[in-house]
Amino acid sequence: MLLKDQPIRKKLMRVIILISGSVLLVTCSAFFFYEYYSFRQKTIQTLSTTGKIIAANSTAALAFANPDDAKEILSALAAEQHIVAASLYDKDGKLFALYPATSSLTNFPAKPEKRGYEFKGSFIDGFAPVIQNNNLLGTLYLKSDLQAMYERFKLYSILTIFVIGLSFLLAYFLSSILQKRISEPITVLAETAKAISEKGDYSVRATKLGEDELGLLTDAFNNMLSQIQQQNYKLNEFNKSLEQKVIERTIDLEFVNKELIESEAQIQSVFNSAPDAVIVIDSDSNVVRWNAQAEIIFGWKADEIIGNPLQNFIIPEKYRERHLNGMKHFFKTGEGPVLNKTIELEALNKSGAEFACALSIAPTQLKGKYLFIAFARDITKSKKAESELKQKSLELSRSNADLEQFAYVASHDLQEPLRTITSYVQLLGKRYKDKLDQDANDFINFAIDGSNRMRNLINSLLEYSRVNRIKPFEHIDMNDLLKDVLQNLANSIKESNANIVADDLPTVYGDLVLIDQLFQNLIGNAIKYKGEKSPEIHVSWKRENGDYLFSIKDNGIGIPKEYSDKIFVIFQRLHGKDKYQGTGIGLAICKKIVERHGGKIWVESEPGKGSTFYFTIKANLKTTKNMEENTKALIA
Amino acid sequence: MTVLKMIAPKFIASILLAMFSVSFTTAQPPASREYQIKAIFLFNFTQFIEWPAAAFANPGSPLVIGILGENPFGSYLHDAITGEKVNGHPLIIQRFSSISQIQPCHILFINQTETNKFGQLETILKGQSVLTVSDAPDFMKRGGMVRFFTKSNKTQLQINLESIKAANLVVSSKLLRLAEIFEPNKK
Repeated sequence: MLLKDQPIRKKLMRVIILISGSVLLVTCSAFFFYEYYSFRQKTIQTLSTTGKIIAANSTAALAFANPDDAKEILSALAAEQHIVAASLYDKDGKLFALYPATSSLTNFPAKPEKRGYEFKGSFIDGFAPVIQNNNLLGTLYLKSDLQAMYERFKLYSILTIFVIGLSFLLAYFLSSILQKRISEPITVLAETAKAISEKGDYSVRATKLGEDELGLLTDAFNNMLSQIQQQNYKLNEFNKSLEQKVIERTIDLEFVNKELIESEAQIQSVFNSAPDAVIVIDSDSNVVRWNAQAEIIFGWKADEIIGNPLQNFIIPEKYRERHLNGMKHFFKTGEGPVLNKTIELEALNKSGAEFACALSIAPTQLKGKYLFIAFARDITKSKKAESELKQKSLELSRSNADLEQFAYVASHDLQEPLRTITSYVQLLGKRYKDKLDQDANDFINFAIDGSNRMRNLINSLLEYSRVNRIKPFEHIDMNDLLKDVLQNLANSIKESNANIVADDLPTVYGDLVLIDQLFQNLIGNAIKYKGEKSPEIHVSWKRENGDYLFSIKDNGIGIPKEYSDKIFVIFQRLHGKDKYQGTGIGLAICKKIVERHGGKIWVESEPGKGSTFYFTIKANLKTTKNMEENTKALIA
Repeated sequence: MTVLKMIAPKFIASILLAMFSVSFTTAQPPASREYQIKAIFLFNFTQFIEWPAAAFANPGSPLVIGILGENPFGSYLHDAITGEKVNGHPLIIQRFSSISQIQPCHILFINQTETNKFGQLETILKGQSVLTVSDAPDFMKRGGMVRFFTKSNKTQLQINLESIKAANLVVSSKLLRLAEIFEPNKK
């Protein structure tokens, strides 16, 4: 058992005993060592004294060469039991007498050595001079064992052990009495604390036994108990209210949960009934959701694909790296060029076949993690239809172009023989007018008239076919253009006494010649088909849906409603040639010009009251960079 | 000193090795060897016997060793005392061929040949602090103070304490330990 786990009572006792024990041990050791050194000194001193006495006594024996006497003197050493050997040497260093007399010679030094005594192992020995009246007569050798010292030490050791033992007993006895004064209040306090912690009864109070630190501790402890009691009460109250709250919250939560489950079911049903494939992937490109439509389009069942990397299933190999890089790029920069827009690309189905797919991807965040929602649609059919349509329109525009080319070539080539016919018929009329009979005159006039009309027709046809000749567009100030048109029409305006009013017109972007022709045709028509009153013509405009909407209003004869479309078809005429001259191409040309500028033309009219021709011109034509393409698109 | 060194082997031999001792004694003339030891002993008497201050004319006067009769020590005694001092008194040797020639001295060695004159000697030396020494067999009976005698092949001493006291001399108890005390009344 470790000391730190022992009761304080035992700790105190141990501390006291340990301290007294170590103090005693140190004291005894010091005493012991002092004794050791002093005893050594004393032993040497004693031996030296003994030596001096023996030496003094041996002088005569040496002087008068009496070894027997010397032996006798030495034998007196028997009284000193620790002297184990002694010998006398004469003046010349020869052995003279031995003690004990029976000892072997080897026990003694062969001759005297340095004077004085010293310790050698467990013995002390040395030499002393034998002197009489300052005359050196010889040398004494003495050897003593240290038995005396050992005996003394033995005694000391026993004494020390006895003293230490006694001290321990005393220390134990005293400490067991004294420790109570310190440990008892602590023990009482500890037992009170233990009882409280076991029973949980905080109304118990510890008994105070004094005014010392432990008394303070007891007070503090009791104080603490009061506080705990109070806090416990508060805690209980709080617990009760907490439980109530928990119950309330649980009810709320259950309600919310139910709603959540319902809403999830709703989402699931919306998700599954979506007409498009809806795929959700996480930030590692693993599939999270896969709706019914996705199963149909791609062939993979939800449980086959959910949790697996999307790219391994539906993205063709050529796009896979781009897909992963795109995701990485998004996480790094927050940008994704394919996000939040519809793109068309190829996708793989379960059988490994590629098909066209319209895809839009939107990133979203759920609990701090990115999710990507993809809507995909199989556009194989619409793609096919689109390409068929393209093909058709291409064919159409090609045949249109062929026709126009044909019309142009035909009218151009027809002019040549017509010119011959016209010039010869005119020549015939000049030379043979009134020289033949009246019938011949009429026939010649009919022929001239017919050839003129044919020339007009051919010219008109040429104009019509030229409309689609591509010329660069330019900015046209319609006010200037209108002035020019009215100048050209000055004669007929004068003849018909027409009054033409125009608003301040905008600048448009288009083919100057064609727009000029458009206005000339429309205003010309308004004058030409005048009623009984002199023509009142109003040119106005406004912006409508970003386009320019022009209107030319007259008070002419008007057009019956059923003809309002027919009039724009080539060679369609409402009136006989006798009443209104014309080729029947004018409005067809107008229509073509308007369409050339991305607009529409129509008429609103009431017969007898007048007509209003409307046409639009695309305002944003000029913002399109590639005019050629615009043109082509328009033609198509 | 040198003398001591020379006689040392003799001691060791006599104590420890009988064989060695025998061979040693046969190697030199007996008188010489014996008197060599006796010469040393004579010198050593100066170490263990105290003379009264009155025995000396002054603190620096010599301690005289006299030899009555023939000198049996050869140069040994001379060697033994040369350069030695006792309590500040240098040692010298004086030889007296006859009793009449005797002069004041502190130790008087009496040759065996002169023992018959001992009666006269006693009267001459009476009242003087002179240590009389001899190796004559009947020396003690004739009132001598110290006698050399040989016992178990060793030179030993016989001392007449009474006569020494009478001469006002003090003998060290250490010396007395070694010596055989002669008591004339007992005999």
